[in-house]
Amino acid sequence: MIDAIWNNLILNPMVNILLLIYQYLFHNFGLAIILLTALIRLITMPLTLRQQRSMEKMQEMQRSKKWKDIEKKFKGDKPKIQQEQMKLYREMGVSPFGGCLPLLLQFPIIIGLYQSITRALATVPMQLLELSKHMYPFIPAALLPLNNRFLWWDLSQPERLVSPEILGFGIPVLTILVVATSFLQTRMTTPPSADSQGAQMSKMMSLYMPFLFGFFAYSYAAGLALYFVTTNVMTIAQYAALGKVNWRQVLSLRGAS
Amino acid sequence: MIATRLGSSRRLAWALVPLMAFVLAGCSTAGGVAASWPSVSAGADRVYVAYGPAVYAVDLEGDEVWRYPKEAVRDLAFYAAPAVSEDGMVYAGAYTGHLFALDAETGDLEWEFPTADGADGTADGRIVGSPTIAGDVLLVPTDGGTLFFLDRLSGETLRTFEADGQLWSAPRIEDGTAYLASLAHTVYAIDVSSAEQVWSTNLGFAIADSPTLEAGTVLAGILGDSLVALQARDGREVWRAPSQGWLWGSPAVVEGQAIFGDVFGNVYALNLADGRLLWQQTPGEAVTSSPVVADGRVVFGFDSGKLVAYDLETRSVDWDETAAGAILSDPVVAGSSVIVAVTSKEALLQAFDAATGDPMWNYLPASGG
Repeated sequence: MIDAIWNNLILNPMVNILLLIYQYLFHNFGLAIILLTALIRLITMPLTLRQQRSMEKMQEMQRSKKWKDIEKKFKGDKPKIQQEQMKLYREMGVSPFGGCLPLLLQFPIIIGLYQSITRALATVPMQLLELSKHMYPFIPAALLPLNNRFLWWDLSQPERLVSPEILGFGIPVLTILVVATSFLQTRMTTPPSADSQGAQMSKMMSLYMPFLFGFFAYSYAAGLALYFVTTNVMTIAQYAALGKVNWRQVLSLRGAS
Repeated sequence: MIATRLGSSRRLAWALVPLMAFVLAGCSTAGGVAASWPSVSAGADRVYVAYGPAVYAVDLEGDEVWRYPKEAVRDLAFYAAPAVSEDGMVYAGAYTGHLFALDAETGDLEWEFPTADGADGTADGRIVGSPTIAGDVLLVPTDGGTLFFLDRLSGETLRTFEADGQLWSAPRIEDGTAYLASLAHTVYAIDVSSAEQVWSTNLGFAIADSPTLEAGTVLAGILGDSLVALQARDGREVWRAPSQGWLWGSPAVVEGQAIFGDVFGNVYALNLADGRLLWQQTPGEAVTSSPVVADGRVVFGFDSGKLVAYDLETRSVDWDETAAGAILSDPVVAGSSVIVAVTSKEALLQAFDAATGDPMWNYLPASGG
């Protein structure tokens, strides 16, 4: 039941849009991933902006005199502090869930996109059979199998730039790009925190997340790494275009705190 | 308590990110060794099934004779049915880029050939289609599009042929020519002695299974709603008969009829000479394999687990049975039984009486292999 809902509402439309883009975009799966990622970023932009605004509002509130007064006044009485902070949330019209609800709403889309890439790549018979069950009738079967080459990458395999004559081992170029762009993106989208615990968490995240995504990029199909890089670059570009980037904070390891 | 929950919203959002990463990791199989289905081949007095990390030899009473490798090897995965020679060898190709030549009697390794030459050791040489024996030569198709011609005794490379796309099926041999289908829409005729291309024909759609050869005709089912007949001598298209759904298997040819099924649950019998429809049944369940002919019957395995035998004379169902799981690869005839490899926790192989359909035995490997 859940499978059917997921497939019909999220996965199948995404797989078919990806195939449709592939059909009209020079039969290039790399470009199809980039364009679909861009389209989804555009569609979810209102959610992203809302999440961003909400986080900024919260930061602003946490830096306000009222917030600090509460902490000072009820020092040592945690329940009371939290009760008063709740009142302040209501007074200032800030939703404590405002930051994470839009993020939650984006999850199915991100996971669906991720799954649609792996499904469309269909590297073994079982996957191709599965793909055939999810294709809409107007998608021509002659499209298959998809050309999974993009630049020097086989998008269905973990990517390595190999030059055995020079190095004798493969350089994971896409993984390096994923780590670098994830680092920048995390630094940009994590606002400086007012409290020390939050600052510590932000700092940890800005180091931990790039390596986590780097691990996925290193281990799984290059098509997914391409998706990570595209979505990171788009987020960075979006922040830069909105003038929200504090480059000093982004480039400083201490900046998040 | 409420206040604590609300005050931690940002932390909650951050906690969800690794959770999402975890979910993403669970969703992906493309980069690792992905799941597939078991495939079985028949020898003189036993069958050989390749699935997951091992190849199993099972006698015709359902008892395991040997398995290779004896101890589990990390990341080893077999997708293709082994090839069995009359002089007592079994050739099993692994998805991880190795071809193993095994003694059919003992399962001992005679030689091993690495078909992989990709950056991570697996990229180009993954074997999805079965190897094929042509006298002293072994033809090994690979996912990277290379068809290896190996010396069957030593495993030495004699020559290679480069196709224009992935090779997921075994070549078929007739009169010194190998007929090979590629996923990149092309059927090739290749001279076995020189590995030179005789002809190639683009069918416009992917071809997942081996072509069938009969009376100077090459029959190929395409992932695009047709069965196509080509002339074996020059590759010219003779006829193209429509089907309602994709064809994953190749037809069985018997008494001048080409019999096959599609993924929309139709079974067709065509006149081999001109592709005219002779009869059709609609069992309604997807066929992803090739049927086998056994004693005046043509037997189909369905992905629902159903096994149906059609009487060739009456053109109606003679018997039907239900296997323990989906039948996604070709059934084989061994002795008086039809044996299917199934994807199930109850059995890996199931044998049915070819004449009556009565279940005969099940085989499930004991863990540890």
